[in-house]
Amino acid sequence: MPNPRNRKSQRGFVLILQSVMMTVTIAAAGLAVDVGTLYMIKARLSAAVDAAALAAGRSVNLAQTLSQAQTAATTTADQFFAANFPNGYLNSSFTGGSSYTPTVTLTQETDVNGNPDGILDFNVSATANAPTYFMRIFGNSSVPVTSGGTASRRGLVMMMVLDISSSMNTPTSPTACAEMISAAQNFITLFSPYDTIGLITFNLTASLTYAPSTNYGSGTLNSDIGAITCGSNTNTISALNYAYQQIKSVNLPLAENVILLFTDGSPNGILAAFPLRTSADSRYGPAQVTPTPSSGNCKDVGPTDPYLSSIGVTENEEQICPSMPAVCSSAGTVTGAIAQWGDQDSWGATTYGLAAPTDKDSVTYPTTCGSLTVNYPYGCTSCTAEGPTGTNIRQMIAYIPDTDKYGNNLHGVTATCTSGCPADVIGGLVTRDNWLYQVNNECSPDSSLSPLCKNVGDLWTNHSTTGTGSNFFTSGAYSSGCTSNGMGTNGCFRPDQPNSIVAASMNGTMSQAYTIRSDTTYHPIINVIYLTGNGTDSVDREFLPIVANYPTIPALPYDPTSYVPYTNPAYQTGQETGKYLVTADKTQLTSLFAQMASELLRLSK
Amino acid sequence: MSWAGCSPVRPARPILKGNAVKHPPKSRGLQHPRGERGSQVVEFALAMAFLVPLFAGAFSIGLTLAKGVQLSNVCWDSVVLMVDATTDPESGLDLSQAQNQKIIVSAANGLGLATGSNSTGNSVVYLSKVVMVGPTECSEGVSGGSAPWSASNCPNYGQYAFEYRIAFGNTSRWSSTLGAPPSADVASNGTISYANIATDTNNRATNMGSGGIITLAPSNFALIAEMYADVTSINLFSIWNTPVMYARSIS
Repeated sequence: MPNPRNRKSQRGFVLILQSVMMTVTIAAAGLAVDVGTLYMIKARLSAAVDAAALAAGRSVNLAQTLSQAQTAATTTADQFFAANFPNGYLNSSFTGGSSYTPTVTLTQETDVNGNPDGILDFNVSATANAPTYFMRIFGNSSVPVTSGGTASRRGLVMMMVLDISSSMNTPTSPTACAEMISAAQNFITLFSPYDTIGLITFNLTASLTYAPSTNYGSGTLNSDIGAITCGSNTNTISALNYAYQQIKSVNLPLAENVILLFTDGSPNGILAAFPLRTSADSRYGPAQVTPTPSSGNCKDVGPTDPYLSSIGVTENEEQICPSMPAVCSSAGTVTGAIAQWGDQDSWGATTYGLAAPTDKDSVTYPTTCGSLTVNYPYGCTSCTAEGPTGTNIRQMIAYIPDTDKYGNNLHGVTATCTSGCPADVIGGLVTRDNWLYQVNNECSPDSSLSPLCKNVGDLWTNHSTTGTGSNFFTSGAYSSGCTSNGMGTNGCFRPDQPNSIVAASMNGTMSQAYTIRSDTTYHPIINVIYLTGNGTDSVDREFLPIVANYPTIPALPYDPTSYVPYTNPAYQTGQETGKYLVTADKTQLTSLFAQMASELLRLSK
Repeated sequence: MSWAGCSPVRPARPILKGNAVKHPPKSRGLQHPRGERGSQVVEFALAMAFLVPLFAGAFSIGLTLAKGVQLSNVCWDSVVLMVDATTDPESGLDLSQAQNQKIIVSAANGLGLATGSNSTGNSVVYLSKVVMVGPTECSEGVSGGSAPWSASNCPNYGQYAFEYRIAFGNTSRWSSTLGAPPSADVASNGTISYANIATDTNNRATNMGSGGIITLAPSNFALIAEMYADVTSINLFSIWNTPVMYARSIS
């Protein structure tokens, strides 16, 4: 029988037990609420500092100096932090006030040797006090919550390569040169002072106008661009090579290494060890003596070519000089840059040189050539670059070699198309070996375009009656013995014919770009802005997309609306793809440069 | 108070017969002293009166927190995806495509989000890129123009304009707090041309700048992901008058 005393003592036990359990239950529920709040604040804080770090990384593009960049990073981080973590979020607070400025630090990453590698880190940290609702019973009214975020910004190393050839001086008021200067000056304001920017300007000689550096906004880059004057020729190969050497010297392999090439036309400069002419042959003048003889080694044969006759060519230098005597009795070379001078036509015009390819090079003519004293061209007793008689260089050199001084193949670049290749793909190369420039006129569907029509070039075989019919010697001492070329002969590349020099220069430029893009340490990107239709050059649809390694060949402003873009026949999937922008309107240059900046900054973010 | 349904523990009442108190035969159930009869039930009821609202509240708050965290995470994930989509399109992440939107839809599992634009779902996502139009945008978007830029030669100069907009889910029920760019301005992949950014005055975003979502420096931009979700299903005891959650992430 139950003891009533025991029963009495058990009265209220359940209530006591439940009270105890209730305390535990309430504490557990309270802990859940407090921890849940803590978790939400922590998650929000983490997202806010991440957003702040990303925004800080972008903001440095809006500054011109390092101090401005630091300020912009802090200000922007603060704005994005506040936007994602509003004051009083879930009743949280900050030590020292209701608003909060996160801590922002910028650090350059380094490689294992302690050298900068081109990556800039933005570290943002913030601490908020999360309120407690139940745990404050135990004396904790808030719990500090700290979160940190890091954003990495890939640095930019950019060499601007600006064409300052004479064609940039047209049209006038304002010239394309002036428009380019204005666009480039605006362009450099769009980058961060943490980026490294340098400037190569080029005509026949490429010059390091501004050595690559950071904080260029405090330097002279802007004024150096403003001081540009345009004139002379277009040695694009040397300019690209020079820019590439600068990128390597900066030595930031993890940065975005970029060459931005701006040009308005065809390259026409070649740096090579040119063989001296040891055999007499027939080639374009001028004669080695004045006045030009009416007979003999360089008689004035007159405009016998039907095409020349039709356009009234009468200049003496544009005539073939039969049996032009050699300048050397034994083999030798002379090294320097030659260029096509004047129109890129298929007849005489002029060849120009020798010139220093870059501002750090010099050119020295040999004083002897075998057993003979070098028979310098007429009037030239101490030939220097771009001297008044530089046009006579084509009597001195025998031919354009297969490779230039940088090792570039002057016959083109490897084709990657396997079927349906365009006509300029011959023997596995995309080549201009067989290309004739001043033909095949196309007129733009845009009637407002000026000039409305331009030559786009064509295969020389489709114009057999024009000029010599080839970029190679087809008769005489140099009609054999050179590498087989796109014309199916092994004649040597003519140095006396402007059209041929342009062809070799284009081939060499495509090859130089291929070499640069093959660098697996710096992974250079080549971006190109093409002001087409300027000057007297033919426009070229494929050349610059190939240089940029752009996937397709887009239309030129002169192409009909029915034009269908096709695959770049030399596109290299294993190399960096560049950006290619083209316009025939010089007033669009500011916009195109700005678009290029957006592309570069997009990739570097 | 009704005792219905509590018969197993209901004590039998004594039977009065003359002066003698006779108890009914002992039942097989529990026997409690007279003074304790019903005390457990009372205690249970008292406890439940407190515990039920406590647990219901904790459950509701827990669900709310969970949904809030999920909504916040979806927005942040969306912003991260948008960073890829807008700054690295070569990655192939085109958020206008349903298969890519499914990444976000998966993260929003249980919130009633669907790909594409519709009028039946329980949530919607707005992805916007807004820029403070400055020299860069004017340089890119004004044909033949040149600095110095102002509203006269670059109409949106100094204004907030859309650069990108993708929306999917129940777009007919909720609108973005930023407003909407003209549909004609938005390309199929969500991008807006340089020209429209710089010159189309209808392409401006609202609720930005001082007193708005965020203030930006000229030519700076913000990627903004917004999400609305109808959470009626977890609105126990009708805690909220309007059971709609909103989250936003900005990067």
